[in-house]
Amino acid sequence: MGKYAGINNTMISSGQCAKILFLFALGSAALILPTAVTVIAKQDAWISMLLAGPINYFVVMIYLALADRFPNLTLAQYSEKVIGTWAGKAFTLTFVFFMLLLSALVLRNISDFITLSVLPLTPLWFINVTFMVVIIYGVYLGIETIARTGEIIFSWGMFVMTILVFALFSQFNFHNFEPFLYEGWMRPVKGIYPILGFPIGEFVFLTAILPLIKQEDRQKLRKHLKLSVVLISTMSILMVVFLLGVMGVYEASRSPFAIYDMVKYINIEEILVRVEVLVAVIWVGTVFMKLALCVYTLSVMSAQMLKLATYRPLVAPYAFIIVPLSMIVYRNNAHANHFAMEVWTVYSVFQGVVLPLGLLLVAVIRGKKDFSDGSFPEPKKVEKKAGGEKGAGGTSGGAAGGDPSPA
Amino acid sequence: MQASIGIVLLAAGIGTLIWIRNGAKRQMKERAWALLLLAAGTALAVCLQMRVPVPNPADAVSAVFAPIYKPIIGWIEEGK
Repeated sequence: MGKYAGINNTMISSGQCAKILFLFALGSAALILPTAVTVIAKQDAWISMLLAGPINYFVVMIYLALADRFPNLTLAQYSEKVIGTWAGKAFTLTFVFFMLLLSALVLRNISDFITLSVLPLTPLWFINVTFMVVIIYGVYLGIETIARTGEIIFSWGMFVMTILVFALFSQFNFHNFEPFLYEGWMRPVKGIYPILGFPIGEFVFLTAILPLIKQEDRQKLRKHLKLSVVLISTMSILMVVFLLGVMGVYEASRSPFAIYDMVKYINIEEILVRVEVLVAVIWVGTVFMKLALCVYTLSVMSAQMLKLATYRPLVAPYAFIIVPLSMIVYRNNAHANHFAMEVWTVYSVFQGVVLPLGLLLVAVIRGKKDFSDGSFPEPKKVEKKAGGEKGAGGTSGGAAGGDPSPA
Repeated sequence: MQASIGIVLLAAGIGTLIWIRNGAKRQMKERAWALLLLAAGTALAVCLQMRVPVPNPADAVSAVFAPIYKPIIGWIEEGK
């Protein structure tokens, strides 16, 4: 760990925030969502993705409007200011439960994928624990580290996607899109349903990230988030278009991880074959980002709800809950499909759209605004007093959060 | 049984680490909540390992939101 690793109050730039949002949206949804939409909307699934684009931005707008009123506070802090201390704590508790369940689901997604595709004989718990150790380390180091990891994964992800698009074009069959809108607009509109919950409602993690953006970068934030949303929509449309064009509706709606199966079709003169593991690598990266952000939001929100001085002691205990939870949360694949595609949407929209929108309305009606600083207290003062005891804590890894912030 | 002992030992190790790392600043509240969560996680993991039935939070969510999602799913699957 570096000298400044794991400081509570690190800042990120608005570009990093946009990349984080992009990776989070692509996260676990990229591989699973196209199948769900194709099952409902058939060959018009790409229209559903197109229609869902503006909804992405609408949801982000809610969080931005809240951030305008409370620029330096997270959801856990301003909910207490808007609806009172104890009601606010109860409000935050629902988000803590939501994030806990979401982390467990994301972890289960990645371990299901790895057992199905790469390591079929490895027990589930082993993959979960291995993945979680990295997450604990990442979250422990703080949001700046996560954001920089995001920048690396973002560029690699775009690079791989570009290769895939060019390599798959030879397999593309435009007849797979016919008949176009054969049952009218109803089918693509119904296809929006799983998209609403899977990435869109989960964007509520942004409420914990927005106060961490550098002050001088705030005016560029809207532009960057707009770009990010456009990129998210473009990417998901592109994926569904290629999925339908290459595999056709029937194969695409039967495959559990459709994009992964689609990439297996790449075959350029027997030279470029079996590149599907590239997708697996990128997907593990994006899921890492999503899970790290979920666990970060979870620990930060609970620390602020409980008025703790730092979120970091909670990271490892939460990981200890998430691993067993991820193993009980889905009973089998059928239950996973039922829960993720039917129940989750309603729950996620309730938590991610209805509750923040309600909070925003209450804040507007009561005219609440607060520009106070909600960051964790810097441990500078205590550090001097307890300087003699540092030897005991220092042996277990140096930077125990005692370093003063460089920011 | 051995796995359960392993889980408890691991949790005890993490707990000791948390206790020591937050010792310099005397963060009793942080320690207490962290250990509480750790105890909950350990209990969950041991229950899972001993095959004690644990209520699934996903089922609770399904039960709470059933009146909302069931009509929507019915509407979506109407013309299939």
